[in-house]
This record gives sequence, C-alpha cells and structure tokens, in this order.
Amino acid sequence: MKENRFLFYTILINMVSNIIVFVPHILFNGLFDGALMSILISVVIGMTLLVLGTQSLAQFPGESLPEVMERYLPRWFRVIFLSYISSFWYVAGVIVLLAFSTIMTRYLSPETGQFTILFFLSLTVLLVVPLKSSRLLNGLEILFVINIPLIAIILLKSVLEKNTDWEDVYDVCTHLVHLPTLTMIAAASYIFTGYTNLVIFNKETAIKLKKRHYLILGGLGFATLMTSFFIPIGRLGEFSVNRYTFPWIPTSDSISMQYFVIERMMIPFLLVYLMVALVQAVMHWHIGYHLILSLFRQQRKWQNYAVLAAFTLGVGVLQKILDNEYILFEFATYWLIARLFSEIGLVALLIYLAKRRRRHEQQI
Amino acid sequence: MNSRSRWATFMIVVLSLCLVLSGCEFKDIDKRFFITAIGIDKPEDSGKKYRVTLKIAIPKGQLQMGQEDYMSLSLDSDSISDAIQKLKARVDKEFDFGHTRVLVIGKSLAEEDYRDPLDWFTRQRFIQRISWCVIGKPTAEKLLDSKQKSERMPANALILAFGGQGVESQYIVSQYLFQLFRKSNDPGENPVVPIASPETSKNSMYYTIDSVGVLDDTHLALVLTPDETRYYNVLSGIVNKSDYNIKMPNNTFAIHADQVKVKRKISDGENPTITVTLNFDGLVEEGEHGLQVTPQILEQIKQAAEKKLTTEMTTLLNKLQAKQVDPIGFGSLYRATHWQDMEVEVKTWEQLYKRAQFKVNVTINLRATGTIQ
Repeated sequence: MKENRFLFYTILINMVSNIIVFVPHILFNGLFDGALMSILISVVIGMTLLVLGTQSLAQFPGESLPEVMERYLPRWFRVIFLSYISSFWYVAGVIVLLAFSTIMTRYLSPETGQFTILFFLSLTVLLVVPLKSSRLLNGLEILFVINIPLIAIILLKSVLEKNTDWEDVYDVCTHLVHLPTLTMIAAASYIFTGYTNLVIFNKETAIKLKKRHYLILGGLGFATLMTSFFIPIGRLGEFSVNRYTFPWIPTSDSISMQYFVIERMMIPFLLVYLMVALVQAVMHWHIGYHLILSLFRQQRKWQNYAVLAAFTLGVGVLQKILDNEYILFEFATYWLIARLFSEIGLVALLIYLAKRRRRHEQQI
Repeated sequence: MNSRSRWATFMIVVLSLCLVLSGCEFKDIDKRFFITAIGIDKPEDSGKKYRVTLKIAIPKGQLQMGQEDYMSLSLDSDSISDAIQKLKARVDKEFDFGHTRVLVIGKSLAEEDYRDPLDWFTRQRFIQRISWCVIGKPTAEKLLDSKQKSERMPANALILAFGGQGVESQYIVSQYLFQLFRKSNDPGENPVVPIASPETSKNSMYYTIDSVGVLDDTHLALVLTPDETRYYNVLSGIVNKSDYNIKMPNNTFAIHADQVKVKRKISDGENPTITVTLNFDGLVEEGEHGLQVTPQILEQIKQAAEKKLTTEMTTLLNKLQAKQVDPIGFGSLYRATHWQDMEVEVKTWEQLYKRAQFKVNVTINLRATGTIQ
C-alpha cells in the first residue's frame, strides 16, 4: 500500500485547485507590478520548501507528524503548534467551499441560494472526511484519473484557440523587471504547498523522491502557474482581466467547442472544478480533522462527532462573516500570506525533528 | 442499531432533506422562451435611455428551413435590466438567455456611447462570452424584426454569418463579446464591430454585413467601406483568402489570394516608421476579352496588383491614423516590444502614433492562372 504515487496526486490536485482560491486573481491585480517576478521567485521558494519538507519527512517512514512530535517534543508545544497549524487546513477547506459555492450560485444555479449550495457541498465533504486516509487516497486517485485528462483537454483547447491576444501576453512578459510583492509571492507559492498534506498522509505513502521527481514537480508547478496566469491574459486581455471577479470562469466561457456536445466550454469546466473543489476541501478537512483528533490523550467516538460538528458550525459562521465577495477575497489573500509563513515554520520544525532523530540514532 | 442501518437512516434523512429544496430553477422547456438575440437602441422620441428589443424564438416540433417563427418585443426604459423585467410582464413564459448568441447595438446608440450596453452584456452571467457583437443599421430593432427565408431558427442567419461557421466572407468581421470588452479597455487597440443591415430585394430578405465600425474609447468613430473592411481583415491577419480587381491599361483582371502572411514592425525613434509587410500567394481568377495570360502578362498583373494594394492599404492606414483610431493594434505591438512602465508606454505611443509614417510592402506571388492560361 505504501506507494509513491499518492504523494504526487496530493501535490498535483493542489496545483490544479489554485484557480479556486483566488491565486490568479491576486496575480492579475498586480499585473504590471511584479506579478511575473513574484511567480519566478515563488517557484524557487516553493520548491525549496517542498524539497526540504519532503526530505525531512522521509526520515520518518510510516509516521504522521503528531506521532513524531510526541516522541521528541513537550506536550504544551505540541498542543499549541498542532491546533495553530490545523486551523490553516480547516480554513483552506472553508475558503474552497465558500469560493466554489459563490461560483456555483453565480453561474450554475442562481436561484438556489448560496447557503443551500454551501450546505450540500459541506455535507458531501463531511461524509467523506472521517474515512480512513488510505480509502481517501484511493478515491483521490480515481477522481484524479477522471479529471486530469479533462483539465488537460480544456487547457490544450484554450492554448490552441483562435482570437487569443498573444501581444498582451508578450507585453506582460516585458514587465518582468519589477520588484515582487509579498502578497503575490504568497499567492503563487500556494501551487507547491500540496506536500504539506503529508503530515498525515505520510502514514499511507512512501516518500521516495529523487532528483528527477523534483524536476518533474517543479516543472509541473511552473507550467501550472504559467497557464493559469497567461491564458486568461491572452483571452480576456491584460487591461480587462482584473475586472472579472473569477477570471477563469469567463476565460472558459470564451472558448467555444463547436463540435462538442455543448458549445459553451464553461459548463464542463465548472463540473470538473466542482469535483476538484470537493476533493480539495475533503483533503484539507481530513488533515485538519486528524490533526485536531491527535490532540486528545484518549481517543473517544464523541470526539470525532464533536470535531465534525464544529467544522460544520464554523462554515456557517464564516459564511455569514465573509458574505461579501470583496471580504472573502481579502480574507483569502491574508490567509495565503499567513500560510506561507506558517509553512516555513512547519518546514523548520520538520528539519529540526529530522536532526533530532539523526542525533538520537548516533547516540544509540 | 448496527453501523450499516445507522448509515441507511442517515442517508434517508439527508435525501429527504432534498425535498425541502424548492424547484424554482428547474422549469420545463415548454414554459420557457429562448431569446436568441438582444438589441439595444437609442429611442427616438420617448426620452428614455434605451430601447431594448428581444428576439424570442417560438419553438417548433420540426426544424425546417424557413419554417421558424419568432416574436420581437421592444420597450423603452432607462436601464436594460428594467426593460427586460417589464418585457417579462408582457409574455406568458420565462425568458431564458442561455441561447442568446447575437448582441446588437443600434447605430445611433453606438455613435453616442457604446460602453453602457457593453457593461451590461459583460456583467450578466447568463450571456455567453462567445456571443457575436453587431451594430444594427438603421436600428437594432429593425435588424432583429426581420427574418431570412433560409433560417432554421430565429437569428440563425446572423449567427452563422460570423466566425466562419457557415459562410466565409472576406467582408465579414466577427467580434466575440469578450474580444469587444478586451479591446474596449485596451489603450493600444480599438474594437471593430461589424455593421449589419436588413435589406429586401424582390421577395426575399437578406442581411448585408460588409462594413465595419471602428469604435474608439467611447463611441463609433469611423465606418469603413466594404473595400476597407476587406483590407482591415487582411491587415489584422483574420482572413487569408481574398479577391481583388486589378485594372490594367487595356483589361481588368481579378486575382484570388489564398495565403497571406502579415508582418508588422515599428521602428524606434521620435518619428517612427510602421512597416507592414504582406506576402500573398494567389492566382488569376478572371480575365477579360478572351486574352491568354502569358508569363509576361502575369508579371504585369503582379506588378499592377502590388502597386494597387500598396497604395490602398497605405491610404487606409493613413485614414485610421487621421481619425486617431488603431483597430489593427499597433499600440499593442509597441507595448509588447518595449520594456518601460505600462503608463509610460501608453503615453509615449499616444504621441508617437500621431507622428508615425506608414510603409506597406506588398509582394504577390501569382502561381497560376486557373484552369486555362
């Protein structure tokens, strides 16, 4: 069961889901103010964190982060750190659900009401979250196999489509030389953050990453950033792209598929991304759920229900607070920045733990 | 209760919750009206801001050419949304904009300000970004309240005319909604929208779509003639098949170009030269007086054609420059090849475009003379 491939799925699904958590939108707001430079820098930062994080975790085969921390660190630190870091996974899931329920209300069924849609999305997610990690990863594999070809077709079609303004794309490239901003670096480095799910999934997957694997992951991440950044610019135009609230939805709507079942590409695109959003929310909440459960000294059944109930309640509350699209966008921006720093902290901790282990082994 | 039956109970509860959902979104197809085209005009006398015209398809069981039926409703109001809500009070079925493919802006409204209807079109979630934008002459209402005999569904003739789905014409310029919005915000490229007008001859009605309007930031700035429209199509690289009449001292020939390569270049300096290089591949399509086209005559035709295209394209470019519009996107090209700040580039180009000189190089490679020499 210990296979390398699940590791790739978690990282890749995270790359694909960047469209939902406003990453392109944040980059478009600073199109002429260092967006491209931020992307290039974020590839370096993201890949460094990815290499360090996975290499450190690889020292603990078959163990999750809470288990490792239990051996080396005092309980008070564990409780503080794990509850802090688990909130990030929970909020990540909430942002995905809120953003996607907004998109669904806007484009798929405007008369249903966002709360109803959010309720059913969260319900679906909550039913899957308590499953065993191994089952979840197998499910992820199936959805991955279904969705990635569709996403590849959509991307290919949008690159090959006529009426793309390549001059706008070149023009954005000529604004490469500019100071990057923290917000945009934080947003773009989200692409590489999928490996952090290993803090729990390390139990189920083996980390056998060689140099070529890292090259592939780096290349894929860079390609994902390039496509999700440049295709909307080419289709919607560099001066119009930041006028759209969810730039990728009109981008998919600007592609016509004359010989497909539906001419409007937006509908298959939304359905594919509905699956991606659900999977992503399940992943995030699954990690958050297990991290929180690991805080309890003794495992009881009611704890599971209590955590799930708290998750549901939290979504409802956050939906009321982040009711406005601007506020949700701002919240997601701050979340992405905080995420970058917490990720650096997490990787630092992993490196420290790996060092402790090596020292421990030498003593023996 | 074992875990399986608990699971089953839970699922039953969840599924029964679905019954609470009200089904307002789902409405049967026979209780919907499909709007195939929207037209927005400036009203003549009511003093309101817009006159909104909807072309409503009346569904038929069997699709047959010319058998389609439509309703065209118009109403004056100060906002487009309000006009549509008021039009809803005149019909019996719910409007469905999912099949709207043609967006018409009346000529007089476009001459005044096209931004507000464009804003509405782009802001609406239900309007496809792959709808075709058209300027309606004399009005959008008249354009939509007409029916071509060969249509299978209302407004089908207009839909098929654009994008090369049906007819492919060198005189037709197609503009998607997202393109129009993109260019209207771009300081380096002005949008171009085809002008369509309904016309009747004998007993049949048809649409003429052979000219375009060039829009500047706010309104319709210039209307190009059919010939200029064809040159625009070639210069912007949209169309690569085109025919030209070549007048020689004694005869007139027609040549057909089946491949065009366009290269654009802007030189540096205070008074830049914009060089447009066009390479045509073509053949002779039509002769006169039963003349046999010998290699010598072919060479003469080639030279005459090159001269004619060079002059006429330069004239068009100068005309566009004089009107201060740039539908071919030289400004975009300038920005794409310069590394300054965006605002600096935009400001500099504004000044440079006024002083720019045009140089058009046309090379025609006449390969053949058709089936006969």
